[in-house]
Amino acid sequence: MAKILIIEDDKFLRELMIKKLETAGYGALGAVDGEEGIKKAQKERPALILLDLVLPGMDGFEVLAKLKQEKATNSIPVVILSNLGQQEDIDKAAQLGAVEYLIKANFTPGEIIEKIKSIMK
Amino acid sequence: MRISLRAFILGLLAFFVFMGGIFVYLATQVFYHNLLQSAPENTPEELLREATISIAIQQGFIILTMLLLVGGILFFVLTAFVLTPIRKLHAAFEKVGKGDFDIHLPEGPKNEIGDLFHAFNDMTARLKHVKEREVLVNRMKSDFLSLAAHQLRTPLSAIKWTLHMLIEGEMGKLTKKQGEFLSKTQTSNERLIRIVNDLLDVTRIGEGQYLYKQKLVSLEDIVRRAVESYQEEARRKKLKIVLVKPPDSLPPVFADEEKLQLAVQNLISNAVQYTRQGPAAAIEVKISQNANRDIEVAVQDTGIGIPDKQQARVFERFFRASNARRVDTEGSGLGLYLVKNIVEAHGGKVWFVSKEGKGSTFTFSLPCAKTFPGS
Repeated sequence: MAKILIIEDDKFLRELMIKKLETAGYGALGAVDGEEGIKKAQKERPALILLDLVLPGMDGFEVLAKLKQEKATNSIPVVILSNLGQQEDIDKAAQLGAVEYLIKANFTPGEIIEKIKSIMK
Repeated sequence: MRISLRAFILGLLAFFVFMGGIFVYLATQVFYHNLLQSAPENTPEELLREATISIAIQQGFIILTMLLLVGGILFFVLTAFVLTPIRKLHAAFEKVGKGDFDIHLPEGPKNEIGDLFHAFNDMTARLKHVKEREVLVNRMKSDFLSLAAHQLRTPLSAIKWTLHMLIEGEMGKLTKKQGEFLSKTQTSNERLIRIVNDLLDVTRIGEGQYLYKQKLVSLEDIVRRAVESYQEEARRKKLKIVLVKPPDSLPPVFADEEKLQLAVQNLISNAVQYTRQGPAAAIEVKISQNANRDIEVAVQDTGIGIPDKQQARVFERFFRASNARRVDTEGSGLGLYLVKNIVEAHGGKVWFVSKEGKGSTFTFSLPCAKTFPGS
């Protein structure tokens, strides 16, 4: 069972996503902020990371840069799942090595799962 | 400029005085020379006459010099106290005209010019204040809009995700009625998300931050997807969207796919929203290539149309026609504003034909990619 880590500060969204991932047959892990997310990524080695950009403390871009710097985590595909959606945010995330950029309000949980499936294939 | 002018006037004055001095000296020389020359043989009468003429010439020269001097001084005074301040004021007004309010004129003594400068300074101070306020208000407005939009999207996402999971039965089985109600809630929620997205886009356009990421795309695919995404909503209103396209595939366009899709969706959304069901109701989306080889997309409906008097304002931000507001209270008045901005940013044109109560046809054209160098 592939493990997926979701780094999201909004409790409700995090719980919904965890539930959706579990229903779809994945092992889901949650992290409230960047520090916890990086720690869990290093320890648990998830198959994919869903990353929010607006986070308390370290922001999502910093988290992404850190994940890509570390040997232990730099091969894990990172999907940005955020409500920021300006072209410069999208470009910056791509430049830092994110594989996909999804705006939360524009995707249903089902569509997000489809994206995850196609990336992990 | 001012200094060189003053130096020129002073030079001119010195020149007048110098020339005057030479005239006086020469005149005196001529007078004495004549007097000495004529002295031995001339009669006293002749001598007197000669002397009178010489004195008259000398006096003439002196008067002329005085006149030139007075003229020069007058010119200097006029320049220093009237012309120069007016020139200063003129330059200052030119700056104001160009939007630079950071000017302060030296007010000097309390006279007409001083008062004028004082009034001018009051005016620029006020203009500067208004301008600063305007900049501040605009920044606050766009900060507020984008903050509100971002903050709104998070709870809207939570509602969207919950509704989807409920409707798909992931939280337990629903009755038919529950499902129907949740579907309606979902439609409202999607509408709200669209409005928030539109507001964000409009804010970015206002800030010049609406960036386009262009590549070669098929406008046909974009139109087909947009039609498909509204087919369900149209079906609920017992309408059908018909897509008409040429038998051969059209050349690609150089465009931002996502934004162009939004433009097409906005046109179709309006057509669906403002067309009432009925035997004659029809929505047609037609894609074709015109005589200039530009690709044209036309969205034709049999809806409420736009009143003649309001047609000029259709593409304005936040504008909604009076009959549209009666049919549907929820629109944001941003859809067509976005369409126009997006189409024009791609080097295209958008126009419409409409008759109140009969329907509207909105058409836009985009140059096909062959006309772009390097594509």
